[in-house]
Amino acid sequence: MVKRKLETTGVTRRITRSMTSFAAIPPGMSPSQADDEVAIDKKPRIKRVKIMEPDIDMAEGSSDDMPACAVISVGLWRKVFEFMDIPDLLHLPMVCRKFYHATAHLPIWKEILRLHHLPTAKLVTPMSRVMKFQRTHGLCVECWQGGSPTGSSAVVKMYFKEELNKRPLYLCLSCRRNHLFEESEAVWEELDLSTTITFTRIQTQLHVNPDHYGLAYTTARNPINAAYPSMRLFDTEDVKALVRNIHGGFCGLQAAIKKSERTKEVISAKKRRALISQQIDLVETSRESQALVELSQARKALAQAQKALNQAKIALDNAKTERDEAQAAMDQARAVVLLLSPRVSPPSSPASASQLSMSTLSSKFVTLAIDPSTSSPPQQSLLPEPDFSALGPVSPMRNFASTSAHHFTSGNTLGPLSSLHSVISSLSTPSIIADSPVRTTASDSTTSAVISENRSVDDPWRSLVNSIASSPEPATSGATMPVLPEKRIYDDPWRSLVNSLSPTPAPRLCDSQAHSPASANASVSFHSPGFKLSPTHAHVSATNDGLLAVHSSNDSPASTLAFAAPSPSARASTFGTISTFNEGPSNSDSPNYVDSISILLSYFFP
Amino acid sequence: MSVRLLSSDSEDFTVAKEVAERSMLIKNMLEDVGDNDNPIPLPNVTAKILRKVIEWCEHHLGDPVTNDENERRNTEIDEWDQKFMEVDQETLFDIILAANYLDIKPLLDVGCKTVANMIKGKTAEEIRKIFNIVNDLTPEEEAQIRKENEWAEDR
Repeated sequence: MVKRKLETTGVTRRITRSMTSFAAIPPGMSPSQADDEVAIDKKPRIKRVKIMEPDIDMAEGSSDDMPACAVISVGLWRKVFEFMDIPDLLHLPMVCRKFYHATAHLPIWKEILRLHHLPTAKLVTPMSRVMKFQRTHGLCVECWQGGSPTGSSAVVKMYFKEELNKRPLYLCLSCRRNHLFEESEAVWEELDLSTTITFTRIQTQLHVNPDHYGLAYTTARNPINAAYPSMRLFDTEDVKALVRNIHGGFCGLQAAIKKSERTKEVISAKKRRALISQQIDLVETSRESQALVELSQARKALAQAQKALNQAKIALDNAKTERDEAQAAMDQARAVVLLLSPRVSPPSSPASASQLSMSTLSSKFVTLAIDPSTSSPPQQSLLPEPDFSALGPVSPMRNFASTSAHHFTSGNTLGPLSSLHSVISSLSTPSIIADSPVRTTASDSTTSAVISENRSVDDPWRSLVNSIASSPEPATSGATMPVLPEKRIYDDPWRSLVNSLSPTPAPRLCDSQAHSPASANASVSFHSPGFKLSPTHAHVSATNDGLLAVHSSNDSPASTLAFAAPSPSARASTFGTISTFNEGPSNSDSPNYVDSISILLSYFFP
Repeated sequence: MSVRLLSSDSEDFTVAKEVAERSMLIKNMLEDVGDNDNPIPLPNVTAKILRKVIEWCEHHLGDPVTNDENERRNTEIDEWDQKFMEVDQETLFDIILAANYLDIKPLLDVGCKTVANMIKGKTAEEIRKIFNIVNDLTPEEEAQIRKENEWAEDR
């Protein structure tokens, strides 16, 4: 904000913003500019100065140029001024310094101060002190009394008839009443009063209640309605005399009227201010209500967003549950596949490639060999497959496992394979089966299976198929274990299992995020019924390959029950990952492989 | 019984003792000196003024002396005194000075009232003109006095 300073009196002043409402906009200036740059003519502030004593005592002067009054000393002038009234005395200080000093310390001022019990100040002359009192209370020039600030009881200026040749005087109420006989009456014409005056007009216009003073009146018919109370008419001259006496003349009446008008203005100003403040409050209230509405809308939007978020979380949980279920089914199916894959003998001929020998299966040395050329659909099974629809919405892997168990128990060797084939075809990726050439070679000692994968699909089933196809006995064959090339990092225990089946520990999948043996220990449990060894008789330890080894309680080397890949889901663990130890060679070179297969077989043939 | 008065310009006035004793100064001197024929010197009063004073004292020889201040202040000047005071300002002020010197309070009051009546109802500028007074107030002093006595302007 730019503060413009005025130099009207040579005194620079700051222009306050509170005065802007009284400042006129300078020509050529917009209101906005005037709002920033405001100038107000302020009343000049005069620095108080001390009136110096007269340089020459004129009473002692002898020059011919000096005036005749120069021979009069200050003391004599005071004797002269004692015969003068207050209004005349107020002009004398401005004549000269001698007159000022003669006037300022007149006894009359001290008497006035004594009359009003005002102390005299050292630095201020008695005349200045009295003038200060006069500005607040008024001062009657005859009795030196004060009065009320406003109204007819105040000290007001009283005018006299011209023929009296008296100047107007500031008089109090009592002094005015003493001068009523000589007061000028011309001013009464301003009121335009008739010979009679009504009661209401006396009250409202002359500020007198005639009933309090017993004025005589005459009654007349009410001009508005005859049914109304009759009208009281007072004589105007009587009323004038009464008003003169009450208000101290017409000047007192004018003071009373002025006070009434001022009171009305103050009341109306208060009402205006109250109205403005109410309007401001209303505006503020509307703004607050608008803000509250916006806030409620924002809260509603937030609640909706939270609701949508909760729904999304629920959907995510459901998806996770479904995923866990699917993974559990995959675990079960994997178990079955692991059971079958190392012991399935390669078909001797393409015609019998899809057939499994029950005897071979029962001897736990089965090698699965799937010839793509002869990968006839499993519909050519010799025995009808059981109906598992009654089990409900089970996963295909679980269905396969159940089917395999049924066929194994019933002596059918083709049913489980066909089921496995269907599972692989349905759950894994059909395109993988179709597009990927599966080359399988089987022998009693070595099995190699390679699924060339062009797509970078992270599919544990593919690993499973590879592992099934290439489930050798590393200790005997020494053949390399094919490992699926993996581009994606996927923390999958199935992949860890596949890798664990490999005799070479190096090409592990997702080693970076594989479960540590220590952390996988807790996920192993024993729940399958009919085991030879109850879970309480075994304990779990970790191997260097990342598998879990289940030992019997005697802790002998031959008592190693099983090795299993750590499974993150409890369901996979309870399915049968760990089971009792069964027959089969316990090769110290590759205990992992043999024992794990044996365990799974024993699950289906407890 | 008479008293001899000697003016500042060595003019000898012989007046009655009652007339001379209107002056408190001469009265006190007569009481101190006693009866003798020596003239009483009045160095601050010229013959012209002394003559006027003696005239006033002879006219008001039998007037009662009032000690009431209000009565003395509010009493109007009678016609003889008004005509007596119809003199030039120099004579008027000399009479006032002589009355003050001779301690003749009634005459002093008449002179002061006459001067006061010359001032009443006049503005400062008019007063300066009447008495040929030079305004020796600075503008700041004059503004301050006008501000303090602004009530006087509202007339």
